Amino acid sequence: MDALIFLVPIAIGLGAVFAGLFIAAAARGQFDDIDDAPQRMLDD
Amino acid sequence: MTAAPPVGRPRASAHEHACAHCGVIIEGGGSEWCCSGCEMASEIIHGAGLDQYYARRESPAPRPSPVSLAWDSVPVEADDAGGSRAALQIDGLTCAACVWVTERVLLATPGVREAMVSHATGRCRVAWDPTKVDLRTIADRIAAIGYRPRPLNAEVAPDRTLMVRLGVAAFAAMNVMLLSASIYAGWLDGMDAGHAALFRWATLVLATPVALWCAEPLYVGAIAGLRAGVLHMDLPVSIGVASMYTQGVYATLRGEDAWLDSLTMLVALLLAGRVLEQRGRRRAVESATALANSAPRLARRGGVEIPASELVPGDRIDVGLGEEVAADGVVVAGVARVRMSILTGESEPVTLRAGERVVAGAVVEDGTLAICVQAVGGQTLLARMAAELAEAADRPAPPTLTDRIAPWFTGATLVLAAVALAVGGPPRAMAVLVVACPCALALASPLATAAGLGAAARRGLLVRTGEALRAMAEVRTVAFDKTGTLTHGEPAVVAADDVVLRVAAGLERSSGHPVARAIRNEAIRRGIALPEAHDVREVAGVGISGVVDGRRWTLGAGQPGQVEIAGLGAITLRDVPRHDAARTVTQLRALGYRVVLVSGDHAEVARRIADAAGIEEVVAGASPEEKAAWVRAQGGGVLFVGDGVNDGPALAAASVGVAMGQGAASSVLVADAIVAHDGLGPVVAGLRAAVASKRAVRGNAARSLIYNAGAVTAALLGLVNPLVAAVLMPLSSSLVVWGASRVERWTR
Repeated sequence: MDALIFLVPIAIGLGAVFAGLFIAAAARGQFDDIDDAPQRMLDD
Repeated sequence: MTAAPPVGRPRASAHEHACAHCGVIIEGGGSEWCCSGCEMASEIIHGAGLDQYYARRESPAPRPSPVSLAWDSVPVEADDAGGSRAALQIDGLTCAACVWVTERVLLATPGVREAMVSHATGRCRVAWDPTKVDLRTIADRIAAIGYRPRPLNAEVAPDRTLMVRLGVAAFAAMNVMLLSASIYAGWLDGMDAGHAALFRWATLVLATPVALWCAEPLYVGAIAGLRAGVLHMDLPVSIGVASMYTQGVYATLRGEDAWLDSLTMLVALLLAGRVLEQRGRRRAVESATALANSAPRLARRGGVEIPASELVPGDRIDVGLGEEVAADGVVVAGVARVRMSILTGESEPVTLRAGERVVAGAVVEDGTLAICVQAVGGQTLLARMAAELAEAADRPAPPTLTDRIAPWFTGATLVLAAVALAVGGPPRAMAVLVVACPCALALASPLATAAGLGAAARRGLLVRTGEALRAMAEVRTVAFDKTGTLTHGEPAVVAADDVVLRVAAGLERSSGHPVARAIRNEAIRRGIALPEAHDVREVAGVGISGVVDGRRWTLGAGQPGQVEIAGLGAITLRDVPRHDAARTVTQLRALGYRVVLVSGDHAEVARRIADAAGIEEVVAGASPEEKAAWVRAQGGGVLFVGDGVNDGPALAAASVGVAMGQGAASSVLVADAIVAHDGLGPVVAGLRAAVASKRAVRGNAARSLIYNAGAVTAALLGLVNPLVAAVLMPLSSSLVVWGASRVERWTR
């Protein structure tokens, strides 16, 4: 069980990486318009 | 895409067929298209390999016509690759195929790098290489296939931070919940002290950004409320979050149990409510600004087209058929029939001669005018009226139901926490503060409001704010303006012989005049094929003449309200009620609303339209100020539906002002809600949605208050620990979500 001592921080760190990716995506306008993308998909 | 039968290109019998582009029925023999514009549009679409457009579109394309707008003022951004980008507004897009073909035609234009058109708002973002193409050419390409591009002024960027806050809070909440679940499991099975400490510290690390950064909008709201002397719902929430976090830090340092799982979940849920509300509102606001974005116009000075912004008083400008006057001034030469409906709301054009005053926004219906400019830009009557109205619309928001509960709630929570402190010490006081935190109550209003705004928007009424939706639920009287609101605001054919109509429609085949449109539409409705006319000449003040079936005909003004073809017969035209006016009035009365027609027109005309629509109460001959005074005299609860600048004061005075989407830009600016569909049905749907939303807010508030009362009692008795709170909180919130989800059903 002592593995948890580094597994928990690693898990949180990994999560934080994805949270960071999300923030980067939001900052680039990925979520500015979430109504359009599902419509656009039907066009092609 | 699969090949479907070409529904968009109907073929009639051998000697008559529909124009391959715009769908107008024409007599055969000649071309496949009704005019050269349509032929060109088809060529562009075919040339770009987009023929599927004709199979997929749901309605025929509008007839192409050139645009004369100033593109220089559009804010253009430079991008990294040496390109330019800008946003445009495109009107006339009615279906997915329209959006598709517009994007593809733009992408097929040499020099265009990117083109994205929004289905929801008709907003087009385009990127191009400035060395190969310019914005004007891009706009002309859109216009060439029949859609109408407009410059768009700087747009308001959506609040991306709120979305990021929600993302971070949700991420933290899920991880904290997982870690907390392990701690709770440790209560049963026992847990190594070192592991427990690790887990507690991990939750604290995750909860810290949530409490200090994600929850910031809540604190800001609470402090802003305190400054304004109002106890906002954000206050008890902030108290709850702040005390949970303080206790969390203290408990983690001492190795005790904390409430950090409840904290992160609560913040994430509240932020989700805000994101939803913002999303519902943003769409309405965007559509409204798109409608109201008055395009910078071009003016002709000395035969050269220049942006209207470059005009100075004393300039002499020429305005021709179908053009809009770009500045206020005095007519120095020419005679023309001019429609001023944007300002006066009167659909009848007036004839102007030398020496008479003309205002910006007036449209020349026939003839030409030379005008000496007196006022430009912000000094024009139109701009000044719009500015005044925008100011008048800026009024404080009334408190919501939950805002009214907030002070009592805050007081009660603090008193009960004090009682708990006396009875069971700090841990029990903490438990009271946590479960009393009105998460569900704070979510009750935003969720139900977002659901109401969405339900109304799906039915064609774009309500701009939650306050407007709440005000709509209190409406008792619905007042309609006449011209352009209850009626189309444009003439329609009410009586004509088929033979006369056929020849007239042939003569007017490519005219942009409202009378021509009315005649063509009636001919199309009756299934009459438009004959080909040769040698067509438009003569200002007289009418239009041309050769049809080998004979020359002249179509001109006849008796009042009629046009006449000499030697053939007359066509009677009249402003008629919208197709769903009578149905809307019946529905409103069935729902118990008082319906009134408030018109600036003569009593006789107003009465006729009122009778046709089934309205009993009529206020006629009212000036814009009198309309507003009438609205105020009703003592609140009035929803006013109007379309012109002349309705502006009444729209601003009413508790809810509703503008017709095609109406004057300034009326759209001051209105609380905008009818986005053709017709009045959305008004009824909006009222239903508002009432449904109010009912949901009440139900939600009642449910969350009962929950809070029960939970606080349990906390006072010492029955609540962090695990119980972590289970109760999402349960109460899902009750509220369920309550809001019923708005859509109640609106039907």
